[in-house]
Amino acid sequence: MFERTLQDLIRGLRAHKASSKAQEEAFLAEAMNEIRDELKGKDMALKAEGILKVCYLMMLYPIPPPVGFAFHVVEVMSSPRFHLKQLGYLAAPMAFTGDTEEVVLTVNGIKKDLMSSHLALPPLPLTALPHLLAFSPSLSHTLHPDLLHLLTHSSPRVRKRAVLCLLPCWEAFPEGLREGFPRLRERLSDDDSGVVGAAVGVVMELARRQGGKNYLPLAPELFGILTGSSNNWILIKVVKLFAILTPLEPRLVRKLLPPITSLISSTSAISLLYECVRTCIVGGMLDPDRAEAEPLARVCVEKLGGYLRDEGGDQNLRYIALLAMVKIIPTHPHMIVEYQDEILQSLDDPDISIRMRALELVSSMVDRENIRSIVDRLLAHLAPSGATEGLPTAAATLAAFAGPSFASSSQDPSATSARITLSPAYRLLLAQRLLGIIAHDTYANVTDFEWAVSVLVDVAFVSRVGVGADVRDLLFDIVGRVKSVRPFAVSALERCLNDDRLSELSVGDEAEAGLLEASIWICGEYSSFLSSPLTVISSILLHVSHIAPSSLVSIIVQSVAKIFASYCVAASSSWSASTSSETRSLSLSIRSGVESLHSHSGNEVQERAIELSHLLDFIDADLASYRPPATSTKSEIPGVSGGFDTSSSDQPTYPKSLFLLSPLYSSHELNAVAVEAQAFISPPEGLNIDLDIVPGGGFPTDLESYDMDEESEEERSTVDLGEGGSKGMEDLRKIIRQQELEDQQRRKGQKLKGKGKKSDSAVLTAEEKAEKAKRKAARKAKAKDDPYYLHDERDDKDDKDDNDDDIDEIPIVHLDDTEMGTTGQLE
Amino acid sequence: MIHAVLIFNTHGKPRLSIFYTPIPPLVQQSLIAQIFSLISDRPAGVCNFLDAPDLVFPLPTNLRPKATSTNDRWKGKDRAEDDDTRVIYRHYATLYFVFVVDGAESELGILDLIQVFVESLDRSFESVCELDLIFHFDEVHHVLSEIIQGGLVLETNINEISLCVRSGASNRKASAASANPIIPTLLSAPGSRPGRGSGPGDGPRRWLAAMGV
Repeated sequence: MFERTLQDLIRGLRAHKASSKAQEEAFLAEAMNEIRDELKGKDMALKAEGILKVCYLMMLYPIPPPVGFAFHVVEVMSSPRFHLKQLGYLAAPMAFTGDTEEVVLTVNGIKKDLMSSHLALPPLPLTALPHLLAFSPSLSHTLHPDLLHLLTHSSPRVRKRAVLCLLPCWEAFPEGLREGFPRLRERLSDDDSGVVGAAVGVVMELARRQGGKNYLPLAPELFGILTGSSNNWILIKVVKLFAILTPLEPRLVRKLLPPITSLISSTSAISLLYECVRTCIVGGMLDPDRAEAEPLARVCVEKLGGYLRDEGGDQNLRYIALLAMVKIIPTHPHMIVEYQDEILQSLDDPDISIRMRALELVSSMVDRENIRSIVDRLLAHLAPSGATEGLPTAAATLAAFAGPSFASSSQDPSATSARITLSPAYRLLLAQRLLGIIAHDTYANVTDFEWAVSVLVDVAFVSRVGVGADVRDLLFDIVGRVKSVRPFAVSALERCLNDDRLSELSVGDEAEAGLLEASIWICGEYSSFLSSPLTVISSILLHVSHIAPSSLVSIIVQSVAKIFASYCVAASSSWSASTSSETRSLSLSIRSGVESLHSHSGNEVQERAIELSHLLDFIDADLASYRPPATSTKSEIPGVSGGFDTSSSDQPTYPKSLFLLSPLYSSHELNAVAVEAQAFISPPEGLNIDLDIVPGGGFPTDLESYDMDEESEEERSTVDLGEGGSKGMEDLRKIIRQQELEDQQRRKGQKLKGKGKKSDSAVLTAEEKAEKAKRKAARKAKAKDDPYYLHDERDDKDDKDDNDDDIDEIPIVHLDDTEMGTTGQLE
Repeated sequence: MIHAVLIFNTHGKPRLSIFYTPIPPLVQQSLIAQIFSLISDRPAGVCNFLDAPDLVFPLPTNLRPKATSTNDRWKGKDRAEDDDTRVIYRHYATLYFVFVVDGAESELGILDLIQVFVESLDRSFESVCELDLIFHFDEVHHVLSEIIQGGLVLETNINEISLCVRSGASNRKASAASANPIIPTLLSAPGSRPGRGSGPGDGPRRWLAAMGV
């Protein structure tokens, strides 16, 4: 039989690359067949070659390994030949996955190789072990002693590999950590720098995954490495490790400052210098309480700023400078401001990596002064391109929708910048950042809410990346919180509603319908600010369609009703024949718009539509039967009308039904309640908040006190919230009372859950008590001989007193009850 | 730690792919394709760090550093808050060398490490080129295994690395030459039990038989 080596296989694959797909697949299938035979054969060298070929093919094609692949790998792993064994161990990570049972077969072979006196052998299993150990707790358990043994192997090459294996081993077998930790600690002061580096790496990973708390005791060793080592790689690792440890132990900072500052000033390696700067920032060394913090921060920022300003220099340094500046912003924003120009320039960088970092930095730089300029800048990025910023043309819109799939086909470097702007993922990030900047800390940085609303509308229009729902929520939130912005918001959104582009936007994605939803709802809720309710109603009704989601349609119905209600109220003030006919035609058009919804698939929509139709019926009937009050008749026949004088003067000059709808929708204004609102309500006299509700930390000693607590809680519910004040105050009080009631119910529920058994025992009748005592005695007698029962002498004493408040009386009773029942049956 | 080491050429053909964190093979393939398309899109002269808003490296949950919870709803969407995975790459002639690492590694340090890797390959192949990597697939693995083990850095000194690589190669050569039964196998020399190397293929089967397989 002709045997193909890996080289032959690769040559064959390359030869078939040029030919058709089918031929390549045929070749592949043939090769796999050969490999299968080779794997099954007896020749170990062929088997190893076959395994290597499978590994190669698996890297290139998404093919599953042949049946029994892992088993063959085990065979090759146990070959006595070094070069075959090495191939076996090389393939092991690819052959063994979590569900491979063959791992069990490897244990003895691996053990033997690990303990081999031949220097070249132990590294082979150690290379493959991290992968195998991570999958198999039992393997980790079995090999743990061997790994610990190898930590003191004579060869540093074996020692450092063994150290690295500890991490996956402890990951799968956490119990080993306790035993092995001191051994790992010894390796931190190993003679060989490679072993020390490996140990530092393992400690770093452990500290990252478990939190650094347990690794603080290693600080002396790590400090020794920091001051003693000259290996940059190890120094970088130690410095990074200290960035995790110092926030947990502030005293470390004072100790670390001298060596780190000396490294900063002396090292020639930028990577080490950068990590020192980063550790200063992340490790809390710039705490403003320290005298040396300010100059140190200055040094750090200057170093980073130097990287950032490095024109034509290293792009990598600009990237990491931006990365580290993000971390320093919270404590030293004033220092970063000096570099604001460079940072803003980085927003336009052709490199998307740098852009993203700059974007992150910029969004944390925002304050009240610069929010406008930064947001404008980001908005310009978000707009498809400069030329179409104002009014996107159809072509630009299309390009924006198509995204990078079209654009990336062109390899023109000059198009790169535009392409980044068009990448949907980047645009999404940009849009989210924009919204985040505005919403940050409950609009802390926003000084002009009219501007904020217009930015939100712009974002919704130009982004086209599915942030519509977020825009909607923000608009609702702003309009609800800021009363003064409502007229502006309504007029802006009214314009949106009349804009054809809006419906274009909302056709596609449901998420894009956010702006439409917000516009309709806000125009409805604050309809008194509308400039022309008639056009708004008709343009809202245009959006009723079968593809519109029912949540949107139900908002439409409700908003139309609200707008009509406020229109009626406004019309009543100047009622005339013309307004009457206008109102009637409006009502008619609404009715025709809503009628189609009577059979809408959404229940909510159906209900609202029918409700509205009926209300309109009332109004129509009233309008039709309405006659203007006959003021003239009164004067003609004064005598006759005398008796009805009072009633006729009360008669309004407009149909009463105009006021039918309005109270349904606008009697309660929606208000935002501040987070601290509760704090403004002063507690009533006689209420001691600091008093323990349950004396003794929630573990009542007797039942009487427990009952008392309940009473005192009842008292609490009738908290006096004061009287008077405006209508808003009254609402607030109502809400607070409501919350208090709910709170109480919840608290009660918890109590019932937690102490339910106890409250049961509180209502025991005398009969039950006797019964219980009997059962208890029986249980005692039974438990006397039970070796698993801890006998409490106090029990006996309490028993004599026949004390109801016996601690044993409480929850355990019922639990034991059931147990007794079952054991009784068994007997 | 280092999550993955990838080498692919400028056409996206993988030349080496090693994942140190368990990731299903199909996800691995799609990740390689994704990273390649992002990297090959980048113009010359930009930085060596790949940050893309739509690139997410699916890490097993136990490997993520403990996330600090943020109450701010708008911050919650921030991908960078809890995911510090970075893709760091270097471009040599027709090949991209890509390392996927997390926050435990220094960005600039990894750039140096890639250089160390390439130089080690260069020493082992004597001016390495893509063809070397293609036809000596196993050799590349051996070199890398002297630098990284299980996602943690084993050695950064190029001299020490090439020493280890060379001694491994000579061991292999000796072992392969000893296929001739007249020459005693390398491993039956000191320490191992007599009769162990009695015949190729015999040992493992005996060993498996002893295990009751």
